[in-house]
Amino acid sequence: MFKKILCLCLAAALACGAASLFAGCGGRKVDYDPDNFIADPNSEQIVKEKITINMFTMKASIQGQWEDMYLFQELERRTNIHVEFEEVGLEDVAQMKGLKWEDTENPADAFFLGNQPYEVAQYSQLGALRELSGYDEYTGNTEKTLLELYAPNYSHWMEEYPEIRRVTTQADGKIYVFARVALNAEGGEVATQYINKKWIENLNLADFGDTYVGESGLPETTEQFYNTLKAFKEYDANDNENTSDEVPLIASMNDASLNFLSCAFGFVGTGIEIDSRETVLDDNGNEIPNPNYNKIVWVPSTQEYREYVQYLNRLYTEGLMHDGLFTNNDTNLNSLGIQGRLGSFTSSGAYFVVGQEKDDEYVALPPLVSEHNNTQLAYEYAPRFDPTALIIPKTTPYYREIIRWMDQLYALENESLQYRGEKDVHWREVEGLEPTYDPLRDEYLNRWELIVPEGMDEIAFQATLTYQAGLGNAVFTTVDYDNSGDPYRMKMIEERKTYYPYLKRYLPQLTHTAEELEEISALEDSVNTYMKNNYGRFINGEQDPFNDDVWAEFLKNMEKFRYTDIEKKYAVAYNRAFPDAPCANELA
Amino acid sequence: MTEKAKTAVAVKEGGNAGRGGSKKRKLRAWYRNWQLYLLALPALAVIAVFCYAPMYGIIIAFKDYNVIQGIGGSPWADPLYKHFVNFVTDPYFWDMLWNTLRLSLCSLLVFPLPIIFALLLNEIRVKSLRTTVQIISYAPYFISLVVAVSMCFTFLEYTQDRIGIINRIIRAFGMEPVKFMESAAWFPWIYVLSGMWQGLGWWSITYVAALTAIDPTLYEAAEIDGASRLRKIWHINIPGLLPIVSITLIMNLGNMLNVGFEKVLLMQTDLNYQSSNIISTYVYEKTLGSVIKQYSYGTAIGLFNNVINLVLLLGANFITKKLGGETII
Repeated sequence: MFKKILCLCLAAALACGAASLFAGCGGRKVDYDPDNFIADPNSEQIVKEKITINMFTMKASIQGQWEDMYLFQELERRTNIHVEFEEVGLEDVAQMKGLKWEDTENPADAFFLGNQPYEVAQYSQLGALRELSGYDEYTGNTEKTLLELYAPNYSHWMEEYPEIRRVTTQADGKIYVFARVALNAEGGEVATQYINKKWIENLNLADFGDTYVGESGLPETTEQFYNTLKAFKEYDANDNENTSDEVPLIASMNDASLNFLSCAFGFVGTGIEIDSRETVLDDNGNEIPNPNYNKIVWVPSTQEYREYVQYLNRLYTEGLMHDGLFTNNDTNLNSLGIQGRLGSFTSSGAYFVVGQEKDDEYVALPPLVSEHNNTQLAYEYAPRFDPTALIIPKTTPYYREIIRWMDQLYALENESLQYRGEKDVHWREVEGLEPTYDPLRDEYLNRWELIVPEGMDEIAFQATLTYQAGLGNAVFTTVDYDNSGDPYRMKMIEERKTYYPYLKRYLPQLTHTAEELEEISALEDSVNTYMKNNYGRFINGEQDPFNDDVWAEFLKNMEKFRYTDIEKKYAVAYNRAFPDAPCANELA
Repeated sequence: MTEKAKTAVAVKEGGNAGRGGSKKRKLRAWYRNWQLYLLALPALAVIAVFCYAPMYGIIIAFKDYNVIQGIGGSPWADPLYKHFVNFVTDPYFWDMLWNTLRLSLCSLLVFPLPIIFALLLNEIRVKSLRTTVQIISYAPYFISLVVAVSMCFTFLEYTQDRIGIINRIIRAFGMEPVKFMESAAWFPWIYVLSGMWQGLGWWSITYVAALTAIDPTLYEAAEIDGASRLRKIWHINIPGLLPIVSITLIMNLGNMLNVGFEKVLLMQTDLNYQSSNIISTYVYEKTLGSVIKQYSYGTAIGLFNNVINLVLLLGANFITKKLGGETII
């Protein structure tokens, strides 16, 4: 009897399990009422009766639920739209986003942040995205586009900065995506190469003519930098009666030090890039017009790249660069920094590495030039206009509401909300410090600080206010919000400005068709793998970059990987984007 | 049982010895054991739902999959085997295949270590000592992979201002320290030996269990015959372990190309890339790591991998069967 009851219980449990498998399969039914929408762009309220919109997004690990953030609660209060966010951690975004597109039961009404160019190209080609430059299907108005009708703020910026329109327009001439707009300086995202000024003074390097330093008192050419590092290594630069504890230069394969050095030779990276230098230097040091000006090149195939890896090889094999180049991490960097053993390193702020005490020993080293390159360059991390902010699937009936909601984020008066919440509630102005001038608003802005509740750290508090904390720039930025009263932070921001006049990205933002991107990606993956196989070995001397035969072999193999085809494909896209000023590549 | 008795039983059980009778008998056997079948049902359901149903997704290896049109709606690849051809003609195909096989072969070479360890453990007579050794050897298994790999980096470190414990030992013996993590030649060994450090104790559990199941009378008999300890290991322990050893060996062969990508990816540096670029890390780079997520291509590579694994598994099974050992099928 007991056995039977047990069996029945098990059977019941099984049945429940099976039933729960199919539970939740009920589809979401949308009864869309077009009259609920308030079309007037002057009204903050977007809908009469409250609606709920489902938005897929990515989130940083320090963030909690987005719905609880002050910014979105405030937007809900104003617009009457409740946004239900489906936040996915950065590492899972790619996978989960794919699944979300397949989810027909509970589809997303919009995808906020991180929409990659390939996704936009492919989805728009498949007709899955709402065209923002299209028309309102509910009213049948064909005089004005959706953006013109419902996104006055965004449209205004598009007028002011035609580049926004250019980077968001797809190969079919239509717009499907909102861009992330950063109008502050040059985006501000740059890493600083620090050098120990005190060591230069300790060793009196300025007394030796231009062997070590230029007129600025800092190394200005790659040779001067090399000599300075050599002096750091050979003498007791840190004045502790030990000549061998100095680490002249520390870097890791992934950090910006390598970008800093490659810039000295004429390119900001080691992939595909446009040669933007009008002049170069010949073997005698005379300025001549750059024969490759405005040409899109695969950098490892250039003579400049060879000079760059030769230089790295010298630094590494002569012990001027820390030999943990391939395995270094932040812990190593910090422990050497605190001990006062570092000559030069890269970081967003010196005090993160060496501590506040030694912060003033270090200064930003302006971009270097080299034997054949006389153009100073610095690598710009984030583009000013990044076409990734928001896309709307064609399946949602709420596209007008979403466009109006999104447009709120591009309003000047809402910008601050996206960084620091409400004045005197979440942040306050700091008295007694020099204000900064904001040319866009034509006013002086006071320095400020967050009013952080006790027991909470600053970034965690910011993460309760806005989505921007932990994710870099917000959707819309016009001023530098890294503008607090902290003197170390202020020094750091000033130092960053050293690089602003020289900033360059590999290429301007280009749009491709999905097929073009697939071809480019397949080619680039292969040749990159080959590059990766050799780059490190040139640096540590396993392969000799000074040997002409070795180099010829390297070039020959890269040719097999068809890097010239990659150059051509980019050149085609470039000429499509800039028909009036095409690149110098021959496409015949 | 005599022929007569057999017939009597048949008559008693089935009445008439026709086809219908055997069917009935089967049904009755089902009915008699219905509780057991019911108990097995959840396990079968799990296998069906989580192992067989998702296999439907394999068809994207033959399609140009995109998320908008989904598995069913995406267009078929032209030709159907396009992604397989792309993979086999990839300039790195042979390198990757060799790197993957080399890692697996190195893993196979250290396969006897847990067995030896179990045999040694079995010989420890002091119970407290044995437990202590066991606990110490199990402990690394519970360290997460990321932490374990960073421990490897620390242990094997050798830079101008930091030297890891292993290199310290090497130096103590008067030899030149090695930059292990930056060497393509050392990579497979670091991968395998660090895995062994983590898993040795854990993997030996099955063997220890098998050893305790050996009939104690065999040992008594051996003792009476005057067998030494080594003799007992050779003639009793090892034959006792053989069935389980052959099964684990077959299973390991079946996983030859399935080298997990996480650990390799974590251990990859620019200088060991030559030998750490394996099929599974390549799949990761192509499907999730790349700007363009080539799901179809990644699935095709995965399918290719699994077909080879299946062939290896069946091959190993066939050989073991021929040799008269335990097999899985």
